[in-house]
Amino acid sequence: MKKILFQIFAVVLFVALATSCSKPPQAELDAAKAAVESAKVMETNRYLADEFVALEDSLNAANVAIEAQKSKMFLSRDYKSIKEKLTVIATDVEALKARTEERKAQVRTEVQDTLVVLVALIDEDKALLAKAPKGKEGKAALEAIQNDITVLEASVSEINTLIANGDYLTAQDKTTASKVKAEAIKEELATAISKTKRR
Amino acid sequence: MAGRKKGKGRVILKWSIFIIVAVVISIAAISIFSQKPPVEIIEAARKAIAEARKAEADVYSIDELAAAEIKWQLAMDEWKTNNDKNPIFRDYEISLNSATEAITLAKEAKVKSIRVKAELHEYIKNSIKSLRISLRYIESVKEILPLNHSVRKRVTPVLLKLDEAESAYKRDDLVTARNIIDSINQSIEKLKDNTADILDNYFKNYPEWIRLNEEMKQWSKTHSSVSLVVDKFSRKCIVYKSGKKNREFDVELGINWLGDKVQKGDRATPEGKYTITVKKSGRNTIYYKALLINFPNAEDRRRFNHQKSAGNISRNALIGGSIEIHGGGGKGIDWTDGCVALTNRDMDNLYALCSVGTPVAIVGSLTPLDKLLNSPQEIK
Repeated sequence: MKKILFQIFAVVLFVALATSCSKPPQAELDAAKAAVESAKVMETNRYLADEFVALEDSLNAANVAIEAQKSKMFLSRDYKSIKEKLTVIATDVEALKARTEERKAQVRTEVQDTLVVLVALIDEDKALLAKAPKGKEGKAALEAIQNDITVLEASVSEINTLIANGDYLTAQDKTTASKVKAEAIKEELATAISKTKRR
Repeated sequence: MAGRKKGKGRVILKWSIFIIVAVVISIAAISIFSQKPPVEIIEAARKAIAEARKAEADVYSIDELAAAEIKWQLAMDEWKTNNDKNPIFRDYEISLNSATEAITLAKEAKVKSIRVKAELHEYIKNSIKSLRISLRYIESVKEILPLNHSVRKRVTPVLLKLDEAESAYKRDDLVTARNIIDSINQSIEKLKDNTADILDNYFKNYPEWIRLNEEMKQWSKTHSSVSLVVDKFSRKCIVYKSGKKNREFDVELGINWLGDKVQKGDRATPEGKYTITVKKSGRNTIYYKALLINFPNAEDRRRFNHQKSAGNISRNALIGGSIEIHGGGGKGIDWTDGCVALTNRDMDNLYALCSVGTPVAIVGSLTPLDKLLNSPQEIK
């Protein structure tokens, strides 16, 4: 009799254990979701779009796998591999965030370096403008060039705002374009001054 | 007593066996009769959405992708709700249908995204090309326009924007590139039209300029004497002698040289047929040597009065005068208040060739506009 009671108890215990071990990995799922969201806030989807999309898809796949397990009989549910997968996702997201930071820092450095060159070019343009022939004959030409320099200075101001807002890619576009114009002005002024000297 | 205990044990054993058999039968029944979960179709939908996102549907086919994602989420939510129910009462119909719709929508989103991106790529490429052509035209016209012309001020900001658009295009940010292009498209086309209008209107007088040039040539032939033609666009003063081109000098003009002189102080060089009235040298001029012309002539006065009565210029405006061909030039820029300036050396030569009564025609251009636009630098 005791033996029979022990067998029944063993079955009940097994069922209880099996049930308690098969809870969905909610904490890991929440952590992975939060990690993906935080990556989005960091603009990972802008700087490393393909990798971000892949991770988002992995999270969706984990969600599907969880529901697939839930659809099974409680005795056959197994969340172990999903749990591991979710942990990997969270780790991968952190790595991706670090790479995004790196990429952003790289673009920011590039923009800031180009901005330094741009500001120096504008200063050179201004210095050349000061050397350019003055008086009645040069006034209109100087005004035209000064107008272009004013446009470039406004552009520098916009670039600084973009950098402050963390929009480094747009800042990069603007910096590159402005640098080309600043170089053109420098050339124009240098040519004009050399012509004057020749005369 | 022992028999009673044995009987009780058998009852427990029977019940235990019954319960176990019942559980096994129930599991078997559930396995047989419960609906199959929609794992495969929802997985297929997920993959289709991932494919669409990979094709940048979140950028180029936003609505279709959002619809697919909503359907997929609905399928997932329904699946979750059913998973909380007793297996026998689970119904995955809505999940299955939603996932199927999600697949269709995601596939559509992918196809549309690829198409839209390709179209946008082409649109931006062509727009940049066409706007560059327009800007090149404006730039070339800008080179032949007066330095203080408003067109010059309007070119740089749009040129910078176009460069920004190209930069965004090169890093595959087509949406940003398109937004910039759309914001400058109208400005550039308007600028191009304005620039074209300025020159087209100005060159309406081209036949008259050619006629005046011929008249000067003919006059020098008939009178076996010298006549002058000042070509404003080419910045040349041509000397005709006995019907042939004798000399040619570089000149500098008034800052607002494009167009006829309208009133005093507009710093424009007048256009028309004039005569040298006074030859000045020494203390009589501050510009080395000078040839005063009879501006304003009768035609200038008629035009000025007409403009005044039409209200195009102030009632207090004056017509101006003292237009000369003088020395002090060679600055490489248009700088006078409306006079024609030559280098002192050229002025010596011209002064010697001319006398009081020498006719002078000041014209816009002897070169047609299309040729000017093809080689503005050379002509200038």
